[in-house]
Amino acid sequence: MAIDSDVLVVGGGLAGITAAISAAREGAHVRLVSHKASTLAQASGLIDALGYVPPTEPSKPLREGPPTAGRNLDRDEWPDPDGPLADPYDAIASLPADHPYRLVGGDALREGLALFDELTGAAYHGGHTDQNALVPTFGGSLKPTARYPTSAKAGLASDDRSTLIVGFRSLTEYDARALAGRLDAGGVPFEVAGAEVEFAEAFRADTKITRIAKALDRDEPIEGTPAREALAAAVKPHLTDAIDQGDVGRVDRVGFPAFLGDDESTAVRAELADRLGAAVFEIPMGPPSLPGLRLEDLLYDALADAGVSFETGMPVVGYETDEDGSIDHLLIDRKGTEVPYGAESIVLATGGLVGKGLDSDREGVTEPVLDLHVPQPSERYEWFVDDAYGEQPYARFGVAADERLRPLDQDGEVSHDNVRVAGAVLGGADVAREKSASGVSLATGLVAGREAAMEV
Amino acid sequence: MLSSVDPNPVVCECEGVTRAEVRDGIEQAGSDLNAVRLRTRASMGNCQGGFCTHRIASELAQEYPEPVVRDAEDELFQERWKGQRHALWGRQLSQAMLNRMLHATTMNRDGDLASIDADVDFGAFDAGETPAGGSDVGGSPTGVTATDGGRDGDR
Repeated sequence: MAIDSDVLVVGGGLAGITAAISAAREGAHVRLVSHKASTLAQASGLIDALGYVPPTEPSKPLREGPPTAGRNLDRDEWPDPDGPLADPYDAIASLPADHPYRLVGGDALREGLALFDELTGAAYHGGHTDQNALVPTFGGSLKPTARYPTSAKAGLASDDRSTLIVGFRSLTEYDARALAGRLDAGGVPFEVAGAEVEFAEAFRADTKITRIAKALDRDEPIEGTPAREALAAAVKPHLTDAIDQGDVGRVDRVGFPAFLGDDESTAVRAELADRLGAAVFEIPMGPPSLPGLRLEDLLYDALADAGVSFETGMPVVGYETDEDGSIDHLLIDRKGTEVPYGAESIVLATGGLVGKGLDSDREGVTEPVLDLHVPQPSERYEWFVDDAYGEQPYARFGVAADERLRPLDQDGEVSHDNVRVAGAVLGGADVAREKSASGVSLATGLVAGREAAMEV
Repeated sequence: MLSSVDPNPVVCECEGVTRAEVRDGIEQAGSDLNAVRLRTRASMGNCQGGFCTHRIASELAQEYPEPVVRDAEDELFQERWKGQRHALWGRQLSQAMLNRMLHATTMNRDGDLASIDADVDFGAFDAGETPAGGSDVGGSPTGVTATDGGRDGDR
């Protein structure tokens, strides 16, 4: 027996959730299915829109022939990106013509961010202005981003408060002094120092930051002292040390790795700020990312509030088309049984190469759910270039679409009338260099969901 | 010498290389992290350095100044990129994209103001709803200064 809905969204990441809520707000009955956990837990929790326009001309070749074994890499020979951009909207016109932002337009980005603001409420900031914020990353760089969680709010680089970055000797992700040194070398308009602190030693070696966050949530005793108090006590001497050593004149704010609690993060930050006598902020980290996990929780709540039925652990294993090429239903594997899921329209938001919405083997790159066309160079040596951070063709792989986000076949014709494509499975963007991953998901998710609801 | 490194967390999880081993490699090879890699196998595992090139570089920070650490990290990341391109499909291509997302999206290593040629007007960017002085946590922190009572504070 088929399970029917108006709109069926495949994929439970930022694009899929946005599309589902966008369609539900148009009055459609929406069902969302996902195969595996989304990549949100790996995401920093920052919501980038557009931070740079990277150069698309190829880097100067290091030598003749295929770029397989370049040596003596000289960074000075590589072109710099345009940016960091204060205004993400202005630069959309200078992106390549097949970029998702060029397809759906700057207004879709604006609406996508407005929807995000509404869904996340007081948990996120940045919606008061069109301008990007510069947020310190754990790589010691400043990242232009459109929205940031409350926990990162006190760390903005355009705020000139004197800053101490703390790192922990048993954590390996960054060295606080090196991080502070990079911020300084980047010309930040505030004094900054770094200090390595002993605290996480109280946990067994190689403790995950999620474990430390739990201890702070519950204020578990650490050698007899409640965790939040113990952490403040470990950090506090370094504030005065940084001043005594002449690194900074004062400490107005203290940056921590993003492990300051999960469910109780607001209370944890408040207690630390109170005990330290300085504002406290988190530096977004790599996986497992607490800010990413907190965002995932918020968005799943919003999905439920919007009345979307949501099922996970359900891979799509097949599909049936009508005579006109539109999709009649998907076949979904529910615990070993293939169940048809029918819908008037389908949103494909399955992710890119990381989320497995795109698959590849030595023959080529494919879209595995609906077998959509993925434009690509025929020769595999043309998938990549010498500079790891350069204009990598593989980074722009994905499905091509029209302005209504319908997928295009190899002749540039719409292949399925009732399908819309959103997020990282779309091609044409280099979201990593552009700092545009979340914005592309929000803008295309919003349009795909609205469009899908119009088919009903 | 190895036992003197405390705490001694694992720096490269794929190959199980600890901080003590990386520091030992640095002691012998200096700030050339490619040489450290060849001595220790750090960054040679399944993740192709995606999760550890920055961690290995961080181990330089105790002895080497900031620009040396930054250049060494960027060079090791580029070196490991060379090592994975010959088989760039399937899992390895997905891993390459994940590494790119971690280092370019999350860390913004490619857009670091310390490394690129950019003239930034910090005042043109969002400084927060309540700029300098305000805060959403802990009431109104006044900051810690050299004159506020010294190192014992309120503890």
